[in-house]
Amino acid sequence: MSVTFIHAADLHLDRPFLGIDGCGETMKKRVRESTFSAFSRLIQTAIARKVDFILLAGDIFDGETRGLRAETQFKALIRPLADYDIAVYMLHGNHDPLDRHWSGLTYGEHVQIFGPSPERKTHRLKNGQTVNIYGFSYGSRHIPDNMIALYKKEPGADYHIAMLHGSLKGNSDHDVYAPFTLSDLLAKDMDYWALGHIHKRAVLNDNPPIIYPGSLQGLSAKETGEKGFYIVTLHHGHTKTEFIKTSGIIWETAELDVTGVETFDELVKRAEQKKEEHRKKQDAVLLRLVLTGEASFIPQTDSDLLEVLRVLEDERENFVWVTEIRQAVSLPLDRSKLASSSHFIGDIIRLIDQKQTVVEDVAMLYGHHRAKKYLTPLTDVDQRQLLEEAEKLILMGLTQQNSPHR
Amino acid sequence: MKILEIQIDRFGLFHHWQVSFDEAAFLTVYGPNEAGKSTLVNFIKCIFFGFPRKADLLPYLNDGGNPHDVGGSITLQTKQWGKLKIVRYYQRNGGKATFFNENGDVLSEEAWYSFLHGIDRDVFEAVFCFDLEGLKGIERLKAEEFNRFLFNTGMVGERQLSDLEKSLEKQAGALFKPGGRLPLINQTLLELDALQAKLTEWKKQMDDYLTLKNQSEQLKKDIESAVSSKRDLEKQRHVFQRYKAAEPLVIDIISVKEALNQFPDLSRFPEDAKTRYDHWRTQVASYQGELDELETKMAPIKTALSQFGAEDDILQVEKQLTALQRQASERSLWEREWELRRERLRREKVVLHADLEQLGMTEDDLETLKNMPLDLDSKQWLRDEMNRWQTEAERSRAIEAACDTAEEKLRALKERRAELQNSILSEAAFQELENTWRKHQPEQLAAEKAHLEEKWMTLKKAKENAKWLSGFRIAAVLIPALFFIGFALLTLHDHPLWAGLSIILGGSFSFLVWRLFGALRERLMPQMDEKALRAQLSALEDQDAVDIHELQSVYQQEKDRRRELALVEAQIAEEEKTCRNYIQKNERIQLKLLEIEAGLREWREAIGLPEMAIALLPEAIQLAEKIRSQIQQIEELEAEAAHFKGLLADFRERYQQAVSLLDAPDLTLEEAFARLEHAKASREKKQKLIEALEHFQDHYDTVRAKCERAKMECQKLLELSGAETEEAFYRFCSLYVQKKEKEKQLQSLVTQLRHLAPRAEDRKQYFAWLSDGYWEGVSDEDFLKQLDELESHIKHLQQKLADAESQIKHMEKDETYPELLHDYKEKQYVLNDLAKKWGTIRTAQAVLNEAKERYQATRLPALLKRASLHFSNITAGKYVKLYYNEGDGFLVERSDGVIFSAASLSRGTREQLYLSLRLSLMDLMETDEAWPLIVDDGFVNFDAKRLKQVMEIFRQIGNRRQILFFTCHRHGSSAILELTNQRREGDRSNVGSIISDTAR
Repeated sequence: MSVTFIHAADLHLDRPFLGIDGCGETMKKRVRESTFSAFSRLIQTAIARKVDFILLAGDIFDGETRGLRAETQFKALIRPLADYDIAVYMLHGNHDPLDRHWSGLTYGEHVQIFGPSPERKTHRLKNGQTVNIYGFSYGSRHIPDNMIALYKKEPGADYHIAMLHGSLKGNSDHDVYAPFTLSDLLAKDMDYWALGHIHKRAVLNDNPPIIYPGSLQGLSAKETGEKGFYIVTLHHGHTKTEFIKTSGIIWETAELDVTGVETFDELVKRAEQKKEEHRKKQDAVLLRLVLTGEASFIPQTDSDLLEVLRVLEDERENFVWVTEIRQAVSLPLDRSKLASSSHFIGDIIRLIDQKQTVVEDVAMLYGHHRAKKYLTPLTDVDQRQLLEEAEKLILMGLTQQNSPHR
Repeated sequence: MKILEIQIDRFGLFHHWQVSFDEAAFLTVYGPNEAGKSTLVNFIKCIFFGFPRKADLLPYLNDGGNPHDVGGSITLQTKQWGKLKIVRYYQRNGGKATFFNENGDVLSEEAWYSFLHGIDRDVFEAVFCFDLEGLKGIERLKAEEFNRFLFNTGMVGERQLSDLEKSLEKQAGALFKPGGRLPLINQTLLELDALQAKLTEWKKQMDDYLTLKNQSEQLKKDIESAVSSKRDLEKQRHVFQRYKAAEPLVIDIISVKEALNQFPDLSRFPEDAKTRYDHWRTQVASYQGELDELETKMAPIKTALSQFGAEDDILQVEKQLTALQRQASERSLWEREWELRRERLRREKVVLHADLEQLGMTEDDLETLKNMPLDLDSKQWLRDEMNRWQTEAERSRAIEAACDTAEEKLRALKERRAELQNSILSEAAFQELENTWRKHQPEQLAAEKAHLEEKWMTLKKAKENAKWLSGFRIAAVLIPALFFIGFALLTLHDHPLWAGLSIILGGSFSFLVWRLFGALRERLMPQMDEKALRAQLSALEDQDAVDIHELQSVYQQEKDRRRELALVEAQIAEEEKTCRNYIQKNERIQLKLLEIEAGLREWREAIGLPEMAIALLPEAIQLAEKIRSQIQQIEELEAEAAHFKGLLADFRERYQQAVSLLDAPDLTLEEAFARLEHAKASREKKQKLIEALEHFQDHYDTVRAKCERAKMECQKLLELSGAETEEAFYRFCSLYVQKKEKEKQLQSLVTQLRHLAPRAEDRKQYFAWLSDGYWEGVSDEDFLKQLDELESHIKHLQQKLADAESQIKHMEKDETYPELLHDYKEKQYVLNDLAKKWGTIRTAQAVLNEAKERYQATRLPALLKRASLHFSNITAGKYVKLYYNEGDGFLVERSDGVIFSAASLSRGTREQLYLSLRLSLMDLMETDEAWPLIVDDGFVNFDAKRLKQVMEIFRQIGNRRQILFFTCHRHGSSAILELTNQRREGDRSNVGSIISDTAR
């Protein structure tokens, strides 16, 4: 006999979507509710496919903006599972650690939440077989320790499934999130490792399966493509996994080669064409447009192009909303030649190459007593980007690129 | 570096246009507006630095010509390579240039770019091209702007830097101003502040949520506690109420128990003794009455029975007579059936006799017929044999018919053969006829004639050859003979021997040659007689006259007859063969038929059929079968007739037996039956009376027994109750009934109490409470009062809980806070985005400022030094020096030592200062090769004096570099070389005049 369950993680319910400023109320509502819609699809699938239970491997709520709505809606969405005898095993991740679970809401007897230390919960299947499920919730936001050593496989069950919200050791940014190594997990001899934390879908190992299902709904421009969860069937030594898409709104990034574009109309035409290429049948798309190629024509601001590309999208079910336009175009100039020039432009390029920081240059805003509390401090990468953009601005101005008089 | 020649295939207005500049360094290119001056400047830039984007090139492409030809070449004089030709076309070689040195060798593009020393189109335009734009509005610039303008001019040449700075400042200002409200970032900050304020408020409310949750939890506990108290009180009240309901019963029970204790001991007194005694007494009286009644009924029956005599002896044979009576109706039916069978038997036997006769058999043969094996196999075998026999007989008949036809045909053929044999010629006559016919065939005649003619021609040719050979033979003999004779005559005198030998040799040789040619002629001549040939030919020609048609007809008829005869012979042989085959076949069939017939005869004899024709056998078998069926039917009829006859005989015999027992031999059947009926009725009547008497007697006995038992029961009850008399018995009964009633009352009270208090301990408790006086002074009103108080307390708590829950629900359902959070986050994202845009602009501004500072520190002193020289020259020494500092900007020192702010200079002087800075920048950008300076009507506003001075500077510059001065004004100044209109060779364009400094 086999066991069938759903493995999902990183729901980040009610997480704000950035870059949808300017869209209409209907669209805004749909986007803001997309994390709930995705979770609702998961619940419907669980009922339709009659799974034995659901595993939610952390970050169910988005900590930063966690409100009551997320928890009450989560409670409302999972309530019907009790009628179908589908249990939910969930753990809290770094975004929704136990110490932030302040609302005191409970979700029903069919929802089992793991405590702050690795523990075992046993699920009894309808056919009498048993499944041991191991896991722990984040007590607080950071867990720098390797928790795998505390996972103890307890004999006597037909299947052993472990849940973990964490990341592979080696990424310094993520080493505070229950870091582990693949060999740690394999040594535990589990039938399945249900991971969470990484928003990109990944299969770290085939047998036994060690899987990140990724986020349920793309949450930012970085999380492109279709998102969803896995339906897993374990049958003594054999595993069948099936990915089910839940994201109704898909983030995508499109490169638009503007080489040869010489007028605004041409740019609009090409951008519209690109936009249509990304339109889905039913799903909506949040599109980041990156202008590439060698620019003959660069609009002074992206607002006009954005405005044109967003026209009427508000009213469409399968909208393609261009969230931003990034310019990665290169000017038709030979920078290295210019850099060696004795002209002032050469001085500029050399100066930019030497410049290490722009913190002082932008201190007027970034140090502003009112603004700084809302602004994210500039990273080195941001500063380098600012310098590059600034160089482009200067070169465009000084070399009369894009000048109507040229 | 100088431009020596410009050659344009196609560029704007220029088509197949070419101009050569001579060695003069200062060239004025004059043309009115729209004449193509700017086009020419652009062409030069394109050839030097490549074609710009299409949009910028459009003005030079839209002339309807082939864009493939857009381009041309420029020939330069350089220090590095001498003459250098740059060829570049827009749509050839991807817009790349090809460089040829004066030897015609191609130079690499890299070499050219190295030669440029980083000067690109923009630098070239900024530094080496002057146009009107640079001076536009110079007079309107404010002091600070002018200073910056000058500074930037000194840095980059053109005014883009100033424009860029202005643009950046404007963009930055539109995004953010530290104290502003309108810029986008400022607005966003305001919005964020507002959102933040709302969020703070909401966060506070969210904190209240927890308080409410705690409150709610506490209220729930309080309500639970109050409800529990109420429940306890209600329970207590319930107990009280139940006790109160049971209290009278408890009192009654105690009273009844006391009354019961007063009765004597009646424990052995029988249950329901009085009822039972009364019952038995009533029974005795009733039974006695019934017995009297039965005796009255039985007396008349007994009297009637005594009056019956002895019964009739006919009843002794009642059984036999009854059986005969039942079969009396069937007897007539049996008689009819027996007669019917007999008649049918007679008819069947007549038919059987006739059929036997038809088959040739008699009644004696019936046994043979019955045993005749006529099973299905035998019949099938007969059918098969008969089929075979018939088939073979038919085949035999068909063959005989065919044989007859063949014999008929054979006879006809033989007759025809005899006819033909009589009509044909004998073999010899036919041979002769055939030879004659053959000879007279036209082909034969023609072939023979051709053969003869050929022979004739051969003969004729041979004769000609023989004639020629004769001539040759004579020559061949005569010439050597004459030679030898001549030789002999010549040598006869000196060498007679030789002459003799010569004569002999000559004679021999001539003889041999003669003989040789004779033999050759013989061989060549054919052995044929010319006359015979001629005769044959003429005979052939004569034969043509014979009547070939008649001969043909006779021969053909004879041949036809012979062919027919041969055919008839063949047909006769064939028919004879066919006949023989038929006969043989028929014989074989006959044999087969005989064989089948023998088999059939043998079978007929075996089954016992008489002699008959084979063909009748199937019919005989059918008849035999029919007879067998008749025999079977006759036998069945005989059996049936015997059966009915037997029945009738049996009936008669049994009747006789019955009558013989009665001793009344004359009694008829019907009389016997009547007498029997009467005897039976009498017997039945007597039997009924006996049965009635027996029934009454039985009933009488039963009632009497019951009466005795009732009397005994009465006695037994008296004994059990201990009463000696019936009176005493009834007194005891009365006491017993009273006690029982008390007990019943007690039982009823206990039952009622049990109903009210099912639990034994409760009941026990009630008795205890009654004796203790536990509930004395307590009333239901007390309970009700306490319950009302609790109820209102609970309601109050529930209301409070509902309020709290409602607030909690409201907060949980409220979308404002999450929506605010979303708005806040989104706005924050927008702010960060805008901040980065602003940061880019600010960084650009900072970079520019820093670059300018560096420039000021490193390059400005040299630039000011050079610019001072130029400015002094242009102003004819009026101004001698230029200064620059952060606070004052540009300052100029007049020749009298007075220093002015540059901003205070007049427009003309400002232009001169601008020119000075441009020239000095050019000096600073200089490489080994002095680049040509292109001036596009740059000094349109200069007065004659200033212009002269400027031209002087240019002339000085012209010592080092070529200057191309594009103008639409004819300047009368002597500083400008006198120019003439001259259309250059090869100029097919419709552009304005090109004026070159040719007079130099």
